[in-house]
Order: sequence, then C-alpha cells, then structure tokens
Amino acid sequence: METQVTNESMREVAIRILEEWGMMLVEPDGDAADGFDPTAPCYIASLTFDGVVSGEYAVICQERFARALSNNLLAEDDCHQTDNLEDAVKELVNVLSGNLLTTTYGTETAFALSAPTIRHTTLHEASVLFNNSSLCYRADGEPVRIVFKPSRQP
Amino acid sequence: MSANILVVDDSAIVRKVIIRTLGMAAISTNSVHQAGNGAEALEVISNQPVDVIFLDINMPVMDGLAFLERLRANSTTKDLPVIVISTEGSQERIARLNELGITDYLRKPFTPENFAKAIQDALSHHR
Repeated sequence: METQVTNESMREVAIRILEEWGMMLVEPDGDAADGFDPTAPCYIASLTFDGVVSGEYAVICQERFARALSNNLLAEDDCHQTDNLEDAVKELVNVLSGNLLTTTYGTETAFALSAPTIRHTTLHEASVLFNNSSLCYRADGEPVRIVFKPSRQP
Repeated sequence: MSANILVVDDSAIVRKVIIRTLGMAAISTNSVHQAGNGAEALEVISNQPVDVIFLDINMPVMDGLAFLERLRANSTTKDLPVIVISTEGSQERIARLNELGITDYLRKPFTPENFAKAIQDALSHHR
C-alpha cells in the first residue's frame, strides 16, 4: 500500500503542533463556517511543497486566532503588532506542513517547501478552500481551518 | 561566563521565540544579535563577537546552506558552533549540514530541554 497523507495523520499532526508548539487548547469543530466571524477578514497562510507528493498546505484563520497564537509564542498579554500576527500564522503553516510530510513520508524523503505567504481575504472567498481534505478546530476558542491540497499523490 | 548569541531567521517571531527560550533555558547571555538572512548574519559576525549561532535554512537573499559554506570557508569563523533550527529534516539535508560542520540540529517544535542541551553542548565545544 502506497504512503499518503490521510485525514488521520493530518489530525494527529495538527493537534500536536497546535498544543505543543502553539501552546493552545484545541477542540475539534466540525463546521468551520459557524465559528468564523463573517464580518471580519480571513488570513490565508500557505506554502507549496514538492517531492514524491506536491501541492499546497494552508491555514485559514482570523485575527483573533492569530493574536492568541502570537500571544502564546511570545508570552505576551496582547500582541498588537500586525507583523507578529502574520509571522505567527506563517510560521504555523511552516511547522505544520514540515511535520506532516515528515510524519507521513519519513526523514529519508526530501521535500522542497516554498516560503510561507499570507493574504487577507473574505470569509466567502476563503470558504472555497473548505474541502474534504481540510480540518477545523477551535484553538484557544478561536476557529482555524487547515487545508492540505495535493496536486499529485502517489 | 556569558555567551554572545546570533539568531538568524527571516521570521521575526521565530527570532523572538528563540531569544525567549534562551531565557527559559537559563542561558547567560552577554549579547544577542539578530539577522534576517545569511548576508545580514555575515555582516554581524564581521563586526561583533559571536559564540553560538542559531540558524534557519530557508531564508531569502542568502539561505542557511550558503551562509554555512561562507562561514566554514573563513579561517576566523570556520569553527563557530552552529545550531540549525528547521522544520525540514530529511536525512539528505541533515547529511549535508553535518558535512558543513553543524553542532546540532533541532527540528521544530523543539522542547526547552533539547534547546538547553544543544546550546550547552555548543558552548562547551567552543570553549
């Protein structure tokens, strides 16, 4: 049986990284759309990976999630610097994707990862990425959606 | 003895997290410098004393591998301890980093215990 990323491996990595690296309390949330604020912009942080499997990995969240993550990473009460908020979400997508690929394919398989980028969009536009290969959690009470989009899997 | 630290990463928040972890690991520092890529790091090293370098690999302008090659080619910096912190941990990549004489490799997310051991080993190696 060929190795490939499964929802189970995505879940294991996502919860471990959000809890251990992001120091967040994580709860599963089946329906992301219910948790997101429709009036607030969404952040989409993403990167591409290329190796035995290629594609895109993305984290969709809103400012309140980014603020909670940034506060945890920096041990600050309330981070107001936009750069820190965006940096925190970009780093999250970097750590999540690297760990998912290593957990799935092992350290003997090399991948080229692009630098993470972040863009702001509407919830409506971000919802296009809410596909079957995505997971949603509440981390420190804030919704976050994690998307794995392979363009080629063995 | 206090250490002079250089943290090289294109992410400002990662640099801050590493500096915060230095404090959590009770590492006594004389100075902590930051650089956003390999070229900035070479500039810091040419002007400041540095005992240990924390290095990211994927960075714009000059990445971690190119920086290491430049560092090892210079007789005054060829023995500086370098701890690589990265999410990418393929055996091929780590073998290349070992060829370039890194002291340790920490995969994110690292624990404060692993972090403390890595820097203590690096400092004892350097002194």
